This record gives sequence, structure tokens and C-alpha cells, in this order.
Amino acid sequence: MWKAIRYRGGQSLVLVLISALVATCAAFAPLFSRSLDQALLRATLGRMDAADLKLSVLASRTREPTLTANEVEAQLPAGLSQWYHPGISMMTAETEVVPVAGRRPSPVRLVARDDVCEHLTLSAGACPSDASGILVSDADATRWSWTVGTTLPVGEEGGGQAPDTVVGIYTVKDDPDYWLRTELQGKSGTLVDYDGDLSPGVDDFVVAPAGLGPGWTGAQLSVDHRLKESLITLDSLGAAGRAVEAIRPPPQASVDSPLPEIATTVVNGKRLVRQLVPLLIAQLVAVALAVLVLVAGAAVAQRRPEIAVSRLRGRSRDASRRLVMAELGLTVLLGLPLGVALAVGLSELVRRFVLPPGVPFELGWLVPVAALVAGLASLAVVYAAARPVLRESIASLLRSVPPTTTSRTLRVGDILLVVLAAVGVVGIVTDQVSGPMAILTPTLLALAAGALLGAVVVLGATRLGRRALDRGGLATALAGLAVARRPTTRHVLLVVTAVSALVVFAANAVSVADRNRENRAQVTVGAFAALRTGSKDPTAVARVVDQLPAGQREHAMPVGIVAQRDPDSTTTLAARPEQLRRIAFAPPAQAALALDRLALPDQDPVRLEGERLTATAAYSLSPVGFGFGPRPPGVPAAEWVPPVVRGTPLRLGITVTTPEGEVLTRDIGALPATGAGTLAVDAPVLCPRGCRLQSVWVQLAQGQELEGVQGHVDLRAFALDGASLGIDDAAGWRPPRPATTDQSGNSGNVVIDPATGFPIEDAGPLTDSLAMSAAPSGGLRLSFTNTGRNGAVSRADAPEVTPALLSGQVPSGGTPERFEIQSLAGRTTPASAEQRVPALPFVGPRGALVNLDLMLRIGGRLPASGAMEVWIDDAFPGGVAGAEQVLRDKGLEVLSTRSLPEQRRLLDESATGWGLLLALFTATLSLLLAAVMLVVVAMTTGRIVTRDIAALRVAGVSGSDLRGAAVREALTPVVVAGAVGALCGVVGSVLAMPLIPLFDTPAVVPALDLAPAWGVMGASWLVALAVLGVVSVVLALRSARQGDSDRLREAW
Amino acid sequence: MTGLSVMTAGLVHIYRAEHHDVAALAGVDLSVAAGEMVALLGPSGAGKSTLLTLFGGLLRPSAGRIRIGDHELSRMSEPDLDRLRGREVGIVLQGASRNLIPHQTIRENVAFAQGSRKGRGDELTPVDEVLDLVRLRDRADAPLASLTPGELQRGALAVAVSTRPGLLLGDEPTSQLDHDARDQVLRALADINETWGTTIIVVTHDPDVAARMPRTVTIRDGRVGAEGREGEEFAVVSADGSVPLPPHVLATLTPGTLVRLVESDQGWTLVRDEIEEVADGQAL
Repeated sequence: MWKAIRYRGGQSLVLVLISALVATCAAFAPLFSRSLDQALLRATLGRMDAADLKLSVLASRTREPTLTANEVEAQLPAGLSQWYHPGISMMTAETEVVPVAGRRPSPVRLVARDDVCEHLTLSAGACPSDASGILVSDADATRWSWTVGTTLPVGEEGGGQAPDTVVGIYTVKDDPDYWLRTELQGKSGTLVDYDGDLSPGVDDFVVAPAGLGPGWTGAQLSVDHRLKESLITLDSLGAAGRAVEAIRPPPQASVDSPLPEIATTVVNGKRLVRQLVPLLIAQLVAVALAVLVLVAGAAVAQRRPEIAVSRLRGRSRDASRRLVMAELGLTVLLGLPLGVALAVGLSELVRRFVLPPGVPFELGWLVPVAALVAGLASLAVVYAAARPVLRESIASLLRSVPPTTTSRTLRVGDILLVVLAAVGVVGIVTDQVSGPMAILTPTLLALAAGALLGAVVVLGATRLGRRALDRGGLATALAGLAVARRPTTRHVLLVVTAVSALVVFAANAVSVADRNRENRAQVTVGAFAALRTGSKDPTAVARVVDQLPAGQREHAMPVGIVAQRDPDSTTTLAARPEQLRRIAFAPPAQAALALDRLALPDQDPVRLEGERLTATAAYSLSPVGFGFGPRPPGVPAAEWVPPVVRGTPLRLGITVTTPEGEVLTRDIGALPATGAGTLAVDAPVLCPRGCRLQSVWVQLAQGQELEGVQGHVDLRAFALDGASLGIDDAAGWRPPRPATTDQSGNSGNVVIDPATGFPIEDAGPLTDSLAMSAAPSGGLRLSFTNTGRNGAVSRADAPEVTPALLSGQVPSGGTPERFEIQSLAGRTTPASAEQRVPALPFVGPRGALVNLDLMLRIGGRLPASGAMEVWIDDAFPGGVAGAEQVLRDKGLEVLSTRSLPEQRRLLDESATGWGLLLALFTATLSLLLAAVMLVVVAMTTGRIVTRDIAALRVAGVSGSDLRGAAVREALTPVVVAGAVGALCGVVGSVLAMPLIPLFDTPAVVPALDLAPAWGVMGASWLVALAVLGVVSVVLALRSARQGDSDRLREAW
Repeated sequence: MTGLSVMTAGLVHIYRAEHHDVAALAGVDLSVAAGEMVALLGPSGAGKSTLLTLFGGLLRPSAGRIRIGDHELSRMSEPDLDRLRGREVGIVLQGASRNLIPHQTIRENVAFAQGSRKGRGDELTPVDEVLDLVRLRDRADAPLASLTPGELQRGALAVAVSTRPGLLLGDEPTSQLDHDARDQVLRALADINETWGTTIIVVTHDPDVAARMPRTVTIRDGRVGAEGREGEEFAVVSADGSVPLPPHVLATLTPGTLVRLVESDQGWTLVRDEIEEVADGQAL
């Protein structure tokens, strides 16, 4: 048998290789799937640190005042220790301490934690051992001059004795696995809001467990268990999850574990892997089996004489079949171990170089099963190929030329393919088909096209050949006629069409997925990198960026972000338009951001950085309302005495904003309700750190016996500490909106009914109004009717309604023209949507982009939910690390960093990211298979082809014509099938790309950009065509070379 | 096993082609006695090889009967024919290489050919004995590629007679051989016939080969046209009474010519009346 296999070494090798490739595909699928599953778990675990992975049991003493953390820990099931390290118990209680006598108390947290002193460095004193001992931080000790022995007035609770004596001074040792994100230090020296006032922060006091005795009823108890990450595998994840579920916490306690979420992530990923891998592999297996059918057929055909001899010597058909199957079956089975080894090797390569570290090597029971199935499938193919030959008569087997002809019609299998492809295409177009059928449709389409092409090319080549013959194109004629009559033509067309389509489809899928991951990463990060600072001061961060040296400054931008608690609410994104255009990534597949609409008003803000504001106010006012109307009819003029209003009921003031964003009002004068005159304004500004002039206003003081005042006030000669502010020009002020007129609810003008002598209302209620104009004598004229509402004219340095670019829906209760957003100070601010887009950088589909400089003019410190970030592009010197260092050098704390490469890595390290890589594998391998098939075709038809060529050579056809004919005969089917395949690949891409999951977790934005990657598809097609074309041409030229007279002699 | 007799009666074989049928044999009546050596002669396309193929059970006759020994071939099933070829009929195809498994030596080929009889309790002729008969023992283990055409042909003979068949059929067993090789093959055939009594029927174009065979049968236009015995040529009366004349006689007796048969002491004489010319008389 071995001699038989060795005798046709080349053919056996090809058969072994194809069989091995089938086995490789079959075995690689479960190996790859399993590795991806493990990689998903490892990637998920790898993204989380020990603190994220811990199991926390939180409890309070609400129901059991004497409960201790150790008692909570004792109630946890023992089975947890298999998956978790021993628990770390902690008790905390919030209280207050007066750091220095006479000062306000500061909030402080008392902390008692297992083995805490082993994780502290004590610069003085010793670990507290009784209820009174306290460890204070080194920073606090220095700041407040606390020493060992200092007694501190610590607030008590519930009658319990609070620890009050400093017994040591600590600094925290860095040990993330112990602290699990518990922070004792970091508050010292900061200002914290306590009881409505700012108080100096104090680091945690470390106390002994006895220090938080039963009297501390508000104490919080926790037990943290660190996960034994290395023990968590796909198989153990479920068991660990069940161990967590088995926890029965005490009353008022809660259990917090990330394992369910991790399990959900992994299960979701596994589902996608199970969807992607088999479908991609199935296409490759289909191509591999098609090639195997061809190779096995060729192998059987070459054994026809031996089968004939076997029959001639008295062996039955069955005995002859056993002989053939023994030889070819053994050859095919030889490929099995090789294929499995290849699959394991490939899987190992993927594990080592593609997947994250820590993915274990696992063979799994599915691999031998898959190999067995592959082996059986290969044997079945060989059997099917041998069967028709073995059914032939001996006389037929003895014929030197097998009795095969090129069919010119569609076979049953071809029709079946066409029907299936049609069903798939129609189903996808009408959205009636999903799942495997939908994903397999591109391959079915290509196979059907290849089958149809087979029938068409045979007919077309015949006609072309005859026509060329008539016209004297000998090479073309010979090639056309040869293509038409070769039985292998249809095989070549079918396989090359399918492979070409697969290559184009796979390349497009990988490219589109890559593009979308890049898009999503860009939108998620916002720019090349985003450094989140610990500063809540937008002005300070902006100043730091603005003061960066040239070379850095143009590659960085400050960005303010204010989120709201509701995740579906609109997040405010404040950035400078020009910088955003330059540094941030524009969200893909949408209209360009109309950043020009966020331009700042021309007017610069007026800074009031001084003591006193002076101005001149010329007024002409009169009261309006009940009793202040015209003389009633019937009342003699001599008897008519209009009411007299005494005092100065009309307030004149300004509104300012502080650097902290507070909006403050300042009265700068009071005006009478009647008469005309001039008031010299001279008022304190009361802005020790400077403030911005926002508006000037008039308002009738409350408690007046008149309904309103009307008239005008001319303001001019605004000066601060004697220096003119230059704001007298009305152009620097923003005209009030007409909507500022408001009904006061008071009576309108009143007239006396001449019939009764009683006053009657004959007009509508008195309304507030305000108009702004240039005063005739210079300055700003406010003309108004005021009934007590604040009638303000604002400086034109900030619009009344903040222009914004809005992504997603208009916030609840608003309209595109006016809705509410949070300013950087966390205050509700009206805004208008100057442009509506699907997505904005970083904030995605729920955000409002505003001009940062406008926000800075308005001022304010960020709320707790706000953050200042610095976004950089990829040209920032030193990259991300360089930017982090620069900001730290400038005194800004960098809390965290998002970067495009990191975000890309996160998206790449996903089930879909890894799964789609398989498409490249399938494309490459299918191309290899197609090349092997061409070699096999050349081997099997070589003798006939070379005899033909030899006969033509003897008949006088020139060598160049013969070479041309041979090349065209070999190349034409490849080129035609390649073109049709590429077309099928494009159509398949359009049809099936929406069905392929590109992300593990779908996102609303950016919208999937499924536009075909024409360049990549074209390039991949050219590569495929080049590979197959070169193989065809080389083989054809070899045949042409071998077609000499010796070949003819063989046939005699 | 001793030789097997061969008898055909009204044997017809028609090849079915796509657009037309071709009658290769049009009523062959032939008897070959057991142990006889017969050469089938005739021009190309006369039906010699078809007749040989029918004797080997490789084709089924369109009409007529074939009897090999006690076996009526036209009534045998496919497995019975397989068994017949495996035990009682050896076939040497034209072209030595077509008879041999290319990756095996001659010894292995002989053993392979004997394989169909193994395990059935049959007594097999030792391989070396078979090889001795064709004088190939010393080359039996050489690769086929190293053998001369004559050695290959004798190897093919060895394979065909490896089961010691009663009938050996050879299709051009000496074609493309030089004289020495041809003689060796003919000597091997004679030895086989002499040693085992095997009936031998060979198809040949070679007149020298025919001259060395005790009996020749000429097939012409799908029928038995003539026979030669010990170098003497005879016309053969068919089952329907017709006598196919040799070509050189037909050249003088054109179709439509009237002849008379005149009986004499020496047999029958064919007489053309007009010129009263006596054609060559043939003893029937």
C-alpha cells in the first residue's frame, strides 16, 4: 500500500494536503472558538483590577447595633475560599473633628480595617490597640501640628466613647491588592463642603476595631474578598458565580460581585463567536471539500488502469473498491493528524501572538470529534469519487481516454445551488431570512454563479473558438475550443468563482469592521487621547493649556464635560471650535459639525477687578397704574391732584458673575418714581477676586404703593475706580428680547365712569417692558415700564441662549430652539440647537457641544459630575505619557486617560474583533486551495493537454501560437471566474454585511458605516487573481513546453 | 487445469455510438479445441480484438452464443464472469504496461493476480514456477521501469497465466517488440501451451507470428473469413452456407459473377461459366 502511495507521491501529497486542510478547518474551528472564549474572559478580567473584581459584602448596624465586620464575614459560606482570598473586614464611621481649637469642625472618617497597620508606614507612634487610639496621616500631622499624644475632639455617637488620642502617624503603603481602592489619604488640605460651608478636609483616622464599638450605630461594615483570578476559567466561572449566589447575607447587608456581569459579557461574546466562527469556517470547508472532490476524482481517474487490471484478474467490483479505498482512504486519513497538528499549531500561533496573555491551551473533546467528522467527510468524498468509476465496465475502464464529456447543461446540483442562492438573496432583500442561511448566502451566490458560469462559458468558448478559427486567430481559437471541451473547466470556474468571492467578501468584512472599530474608538475617546484632570476649575485648566509652549500648545485643547445623573440626559461638552476642528475626531458618516455657529460674540467680557463702580444715571420717570392715570373726566383741573410717590423706589443695579460661576446682583443706585434728574452712581463692586459684568437692570422695589414706574434712564460714564470701562456704547449691550414684556397682573389704566363717578378698568393689565437704545446725549438709554420684575439689559459678550450643536434628542421639555443644558458650573442654562447631528465626540448621541470660551465667560466651577479634560492629537510631543507628565508638571492631577490605541485595543480584543480575523484566514486558505486545485487540474489533464499540443505542433502550428493557446486556455477561466467571483463578493458584501455583528455590544453611534471598502476589495481581488493567474500561466507554459513529439509517441 | 475449448455460434456484437451503431462482429461461428493455439488475423477494424474481448467476458455479445469450456458466457452473471477471469481465463491486453500494476514488481504483480483465488482452498501455482515458465525469475524483483519491453511483455504473460488458466487470450502480445523479444514471447506461449495444455488465442498482425501458430483464423468484416492450418489457407463455410472468398479471388470474381460448383474426386471446384476458367479449388 505504501508503495502505491509513494508511486504517485505528488498526487498523494496533494491529497494528503487537501485532506489535512479540511481537517485543519474542522479542528481549528473548536480550537479557535474555545481560545476566543478564554480570551474574552481573560480580556474582561484583564481590564479590571483587583478592586473591580472583589466580592464586597456591605452591612450596617441599623438592625443589629452590635454587628461587627468579623461577624458578617463569619456568616459567609466556606465555599467562597475556593475562588476568593480571605476576606478583609472593615468598619467605617463618619464623624467630625475640630482640628485646631477655635476652628470649624471638619468631617472625618474613622476606619478600622483588618491588618491595617501592616499596610501603613508609621513615622511615629504605634498601632492603636484600644478604643481611644487614633492614627492620623502624616499630612494632617504636619498641617495641624498633631503629634503622638495629641487629644482631638472627635464627635461621638450614640453615647459611645469616641477615640480621641493620637497614638501614631501613618502614611499608606502602596498595595492595591490589600487596599482594593480604599483611600485613607488625599483629603488633607482640600476644601470640602460640610454643613453648607467649606471646611478643611482631614484624612481618615485609623482606629482599632474597639474604637467603633456598638455605640456607633451608623457604622458601615464591609468585607472585601479578592478574587483568585488565575482560577477563573470558562469552566470555573459558573461555579464561582454559584458560590457567590449561595451567599446569604445578614439583614440590611448587600453583596456586590462583578462575576454576573463578567459571565454575561463572556456569554454574549461566546454567542457571537458561535455565530461567526462556524459560518466563516463553513465557507472554507465548502471550498476545501469542493477541491477535495476534484482531487479525489482525479486520483481515482488515474487509477482506472489499475482498477481495470484488478477486474481483469478476477476481482469483483467490491474487492476493487476495497483496493482503491484502502489506498486513497489511507492517503486521506494520513492528512488527518497533519490537519489536526496544523490546526493546533495555528491555534497556538493565534494564542501566542493575537490573543491576550493567559489564554490556556485546551484541546477539548470537540477537536477529535471535528477531526473525525472531517475524516469521514473526506472518506465519503473519496468514496463518492470512486463509485462511478468502479461501476464502469472493464471495457470502459480499459479505454485510454476516460469516457467523460463536458456537460453543456446545468446539473441537478447546479440548479439546487441556484435555487438556494435565489432564496437567500430574496430573503435578505425582503428581510425574511436571518441566521446561518443569510450569512451563507454570499457563498451560495458565488457557487451558483460559478455553476451558471460553467454552462455559459462552455457554450461561449465554443462559439468564440469557432469564430476565432474563421478569422484566423489560431491561438484564441485553440484556447476557446480547448476550454469548451475540457471536463475540468466547470470545476475550475466553480472553485475560482467561489474563492474569488470569498476573498473579496472576507477582505471587505475585515476592512469594514476595522473601519467601524476605528470610528467607534474615535467617537468614544473624542481625540487621540483624552486626559481627565482632577481639577474642577475650567479656567485654570484652560490657562494651563494656553500657556503650554509652542509645539505643545497647538496639539492640546481643554474640554469641559458636565454629565447629569440620568444616563439618558444630555451631557454638556464645552470646547473651543477651532481646536475641536483641529484636534478632535469628527464623528464619521454624518454631516460636518457646524462649528462656526458656536462663534463667540464680538464683545469682550467686562472684568470688574476693582473696588468701586461709578456712572451717571440721567432719568425721567413717572409712576403708572391705579391712581396715576390721566385726570378723570368731569374732574376739574383745579381739583385734580395726582398722587405723590415719595422716596426712591426704583432700584438700579448690575448683575455680575464670579469666577466660581456664582451670579450675584449689586445695587448701584436708587431712583425716584417721579420726575427727572441725574444720579451719580458710586457703588462698591464687592468682587474680591474680580467678576464679570453681566447686565444692568432696573427693578421696582417691593412693598411700594404704586403699581409701576415708566420712563427712561440714561446710563453713561461707567468707570471702575475712576478708570473708564468703555461700555457706554449701546452697541456693546444686547437688546432685550421682546418676550421680556410680561404681564404683571396689576390693573391697567383706570378711568372714571362719568355716569357713576367710579373708576372703571378699560384697558388690559399693566405690563412690564424694556427697551434699549442709545441715549441722545451719549450712553445707554433704558426705556421701560417696570412693575417689580427685574428688567435687565445684558452685555453682548454672551448670548442669552447658548448656541449649541445637539446630538440626539432634544432634552425633555425643550424645543430645538430652546432647551436646557448644564453649564460648566452645573447650572441650568438655556441653549438652542444650531445644528443637530447624530453624534458628538466623546458624548456620542446625547450631548450638547458649546463653546468653552463662552462657558468660561459665564464662569463657574465644575459640579461633582463635571470634569475638565485635556485632549491631545497624535503629534503631541512625547505622546500620551508626555502629555500626562506636562500636565502633572503644571500642577494638574491626571485622574485617568483615554486613548485611541487603548480604545482600539479594547474593541479589537472582542469576540467580534477576533472572530472576524478568521475571515482573513479563510480567504488565505481558500486561495491556497484554489491554487492547489489548479495544480491538480494541470496534473490530471496534463497528459491530454500535452498530447493535444504535441499533435498541433506536428500539424505545423507555431510554438508561439501553442504557447498563446495554452496560456489563454489556462488563464481565461481563471480571469472570467475571478471577475464573476469578485462581483458576487461585492453583492454578497452589500447583502450580508448588515447581518455580521461588528461589535460585541452594539452602539447607537457611530452609525455603522457599511460602505464597501472598494480599495481593499479591489486589492484583494487583484492579489487573488495574481496568485491564481501566475499559477495558471506557469502550468500552461510547462504544458506547452512538454507538448513535443515524444508525447505523441506515448499514445501510439 | 487443462485447456478449455472455445465455441461461438452466430456471434454478433454492435457498438452503440452516439449517432450510429457499428457492427464489429456480424455472425462469427468458431470452434477452438482445448489445448489448441490459435492466432486471430485480419485487417484493422475486422473485429479481432472485439472477439477476444468477448471471449474474456469483458463485453457482452449483442447476439449469439459463446461457450468457454462448460461455461455459456452470455448467460453468466457479472460475479461469475469475475470468477471465470480469476480462475480459468487469462487475458493479456495490448501494451504490456496495461497488464501490470505500475508500482509493483513482476513477482508482486503475479502474486496480486493470484490474489483473487487466495483463501478459497484453491491450489496456487508457485510464483517462481510461473516466472520460470516465462523465463523471468531472475528479473522478477526488479522495478518495472528497469525491464525491457520483452521482459515486460513476458511479465504480462506471467500475470495472465499466474492462476494457470485453461484459456489464455492475448491481444497483440508481440507488438512493438524486436525479433528476439518476440521470439521469447512466442517461446513462452508455446511453453505454456505445452506445459499446462492451456488453450491460447492471440490476436496478431504479425505474419511471422501467425506462421508459427498451428492454426490461424482470419476475421474479415466481422466474420470468419478464412482459416489456416499448418500454413495452408482455407475458406470457411459459414453456418448459413455462405463461403467468404479470399480477397485475391474476389478480385477476379466480381460481385454478380455466375459460378458453378463441380464435384470431383478431389473435392469441389468453382467454375466460372463464360470463360470456363477454373478457379483455385478448395477442399472443404
